[in-house]
Amino acid sequence: MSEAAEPEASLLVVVLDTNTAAWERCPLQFDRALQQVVIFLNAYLALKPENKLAVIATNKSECRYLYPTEFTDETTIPEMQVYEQFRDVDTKVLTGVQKMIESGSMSSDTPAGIEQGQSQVSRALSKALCYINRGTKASVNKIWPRILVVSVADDAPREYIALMNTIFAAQKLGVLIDVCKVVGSDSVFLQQAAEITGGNYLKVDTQENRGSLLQSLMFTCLADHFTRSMLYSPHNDLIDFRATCFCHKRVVDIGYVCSVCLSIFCKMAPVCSTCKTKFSFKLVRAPSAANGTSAGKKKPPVN
Amino acid sequence: MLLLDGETLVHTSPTSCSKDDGTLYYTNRRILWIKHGAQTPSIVIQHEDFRLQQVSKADAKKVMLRISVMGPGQAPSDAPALTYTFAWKNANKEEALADRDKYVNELYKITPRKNAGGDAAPTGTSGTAAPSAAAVPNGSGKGAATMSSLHPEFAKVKIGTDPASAEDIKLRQDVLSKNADLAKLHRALVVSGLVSEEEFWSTRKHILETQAVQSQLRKGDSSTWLDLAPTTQDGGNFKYTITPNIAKRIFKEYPQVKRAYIDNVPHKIGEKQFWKRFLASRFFNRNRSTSAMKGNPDSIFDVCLRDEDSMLGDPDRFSSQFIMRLLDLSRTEEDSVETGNMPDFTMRPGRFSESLSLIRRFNHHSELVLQSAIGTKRKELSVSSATVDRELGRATMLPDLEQPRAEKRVKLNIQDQSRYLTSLVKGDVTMRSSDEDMLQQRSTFSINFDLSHPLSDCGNTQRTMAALTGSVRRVAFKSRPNRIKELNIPPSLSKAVEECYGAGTEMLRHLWAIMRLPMTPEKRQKADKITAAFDNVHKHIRSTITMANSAESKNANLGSTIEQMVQPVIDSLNAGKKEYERRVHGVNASS
Repeated sequence: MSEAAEPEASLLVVVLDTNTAAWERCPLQFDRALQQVVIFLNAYLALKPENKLAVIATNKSECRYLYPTEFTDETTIPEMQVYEQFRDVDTKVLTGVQKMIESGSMSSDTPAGIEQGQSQVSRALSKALCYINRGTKASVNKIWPRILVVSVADDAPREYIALMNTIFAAQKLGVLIDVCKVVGSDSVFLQQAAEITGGNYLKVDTQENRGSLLQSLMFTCLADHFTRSMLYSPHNDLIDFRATCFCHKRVVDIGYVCSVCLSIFCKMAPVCSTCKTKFSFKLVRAPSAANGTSAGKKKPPVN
Repeated sequence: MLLLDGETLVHTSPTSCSKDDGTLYYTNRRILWIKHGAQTPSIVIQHEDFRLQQVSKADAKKVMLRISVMGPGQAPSDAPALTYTFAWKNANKEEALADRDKYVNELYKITPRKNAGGDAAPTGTSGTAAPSAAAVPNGSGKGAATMSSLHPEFAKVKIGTDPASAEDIKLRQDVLSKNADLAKLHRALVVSGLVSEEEFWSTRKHILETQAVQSQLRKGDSSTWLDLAPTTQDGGNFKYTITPNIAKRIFKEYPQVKRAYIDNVPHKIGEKQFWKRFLASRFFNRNRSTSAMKGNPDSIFDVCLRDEDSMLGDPDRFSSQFIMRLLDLSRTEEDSVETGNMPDFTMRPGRFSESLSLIRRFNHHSELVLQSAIGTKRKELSVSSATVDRELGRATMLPDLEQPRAEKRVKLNIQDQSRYLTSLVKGDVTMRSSDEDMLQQRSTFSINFDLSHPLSDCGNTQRTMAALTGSVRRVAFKSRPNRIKELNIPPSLSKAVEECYGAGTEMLRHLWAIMRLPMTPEKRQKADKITAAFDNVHKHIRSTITMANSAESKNANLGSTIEQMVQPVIDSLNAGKKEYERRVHGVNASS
């Protein structure tokens, strides 16, 4: 992909996690956080008139577009004192979130494998990528796409494969994924998303800093592709790529990997407990024997 | 007199050498002799170069010591090139003798030991001396024997018990002379006594094996076309140079010339004359210029010309019975008849008579090259029709056109998919609220959607800003291109740090290699020795830090910088030791 130039516009898709269960655990109240996110959106739109925006909200059972309106049936009453586009975005995002929470509390049909504190991030990301694909194709001028995930929920293991696929698709499309994790432990999946696509992963410590979400967003995620090439972005130095073993969920430095299903174990076992493959140990040299032969000198073949 | 790093003075005596008065010094590395009034030593003998000492008899008039030394660039096996004779000036002969004996004893320690067989394994020497004979890659291997006597810890660290064989030592020397980085590491670790020779190589067996295989490979003949190009001299004359090597290749390319050479040289004409006539002959010049038949008629080489033409032009040279059918061009004629294609007219032999001989020679050359490559491995062509048909069938079968055979597949049968995926999530998975809690939360979860009021509280902005800028500064520092240079570390210090890392890594490599395997008393002993040797590394690190603190540099806090730099080694060493001790105690407790 070519280098970004200054006058070119951006297309930002914000994936907003509205999982109420997760927000409950957040020291920063949801409405306050929402207010800050909306301010960020306005700032983004104010940065360049050509900038395009889409907002997708997700929770444990569904994900839907909040903005732009073509996907919703919302209409806004114009107000004289506020810039039209700001008002449009603000209202739609807020009413959309409200509706989503209301409907979420009514329905209790959660897809299998997704627990209360988890959200369907991969679905939202796929939607975002579709939107981006269409947006970049439809746009006459060059437009630089990126995604911002405001995440609160835990990683849903069920989603792993889907999420990884969307991440690689984003990488292919040249879409940056910025991740802002507001609550809970670090998301391993989203960390990888940011790492692979070249975006920033940001963990906002809402407990310590009493909700300076807006500041972090402005600092890290507002800059477009062109500006980013000149900036050092706050970087997570230590991304833990170590694996956890399947049997005890311990982080291991040295593990045993099943050659068939790639399950990781902290101890050697004759049968893989994941795929029931029986290992043939005849091929493996006993450690003592291996040591014995290596200690002996190997004579080069004499012709 | 200037002593080198780590050099200490052992003995000094006033002596004379080649009728000049001066002082003889013996240090732990060199033997020096300085003329009176001179600043620099006029004789410097490295211990590695020392070969032999001779002394005058006790009843001789003068007390003398003669030292034989290897000359520069000399192989250790050659006879010593230089000798120096020092005469003691002490008038008291008893004292002078006693003084000389001190030198004799020291020199005896560093005398290179020769074994009786000469090429057999040096079993006569002490256990440490033999494997360390490869210590110095520049060929003066014997010097390492000195190192072992100078570094008691070297002998202590030593783990391997088998003395290396002469071949092994030669291999190691070869490897070190080829690989400068490895030689550097070897010097830093083995010669300085941090790691024993055996240990050093035990983790690098593959390098030695590769070297062993490579040294066995024989180089084949050159397959290039022999092209004798003349060099132009003043006055437009040409000069050809024929070395024995080129002559050999000429003989190989033109067997007739060889025959002519055997017939004529030296009894009929001289060798020089022979080559002169060869170069002037029609035989040599016939394909070299466009004007054919240039060159003088020559009784010897015209015969060659005829011979060659008849040999290469002989159609019966190949028995057509044994030509592989796949290579037989005349067989393609059948294709054109049956399919209606035009017969191939491009491949008619002998169409261009002027280039015929050149083409023949090219073909002959290719034949020679192929023969030298295939050598004796050439397969005998089978004559039985069944095998010929089978060979032909195999050669003409196209695998791409065959029906793909279904592969035998085993279904990946993952029993519990959720477990498979859950393992990818780190952290506390149990921190999930139950459904009842959720219902309760929903009732209390209320959101104020009125955003008309201004944002009242942005949180602790100072702290957020500090965290963000701190993170950015770390990234910026890391990506600065010459950040190492900015630290202003003197080269000697950076070398010392490198050594710390090299030694630490080497030790840990051995320790972890042992620990991965089940513990036996033997291995435990070995591991104990390694962990004991950690102290040497720690000592080295400490001395490096002291050196950093005393060193002068533009960097004011060089000491702490270096300390930070070597901290990872210290940490890893401690971690390794701790883990080892934990395991040993664990074994003890269980047994």
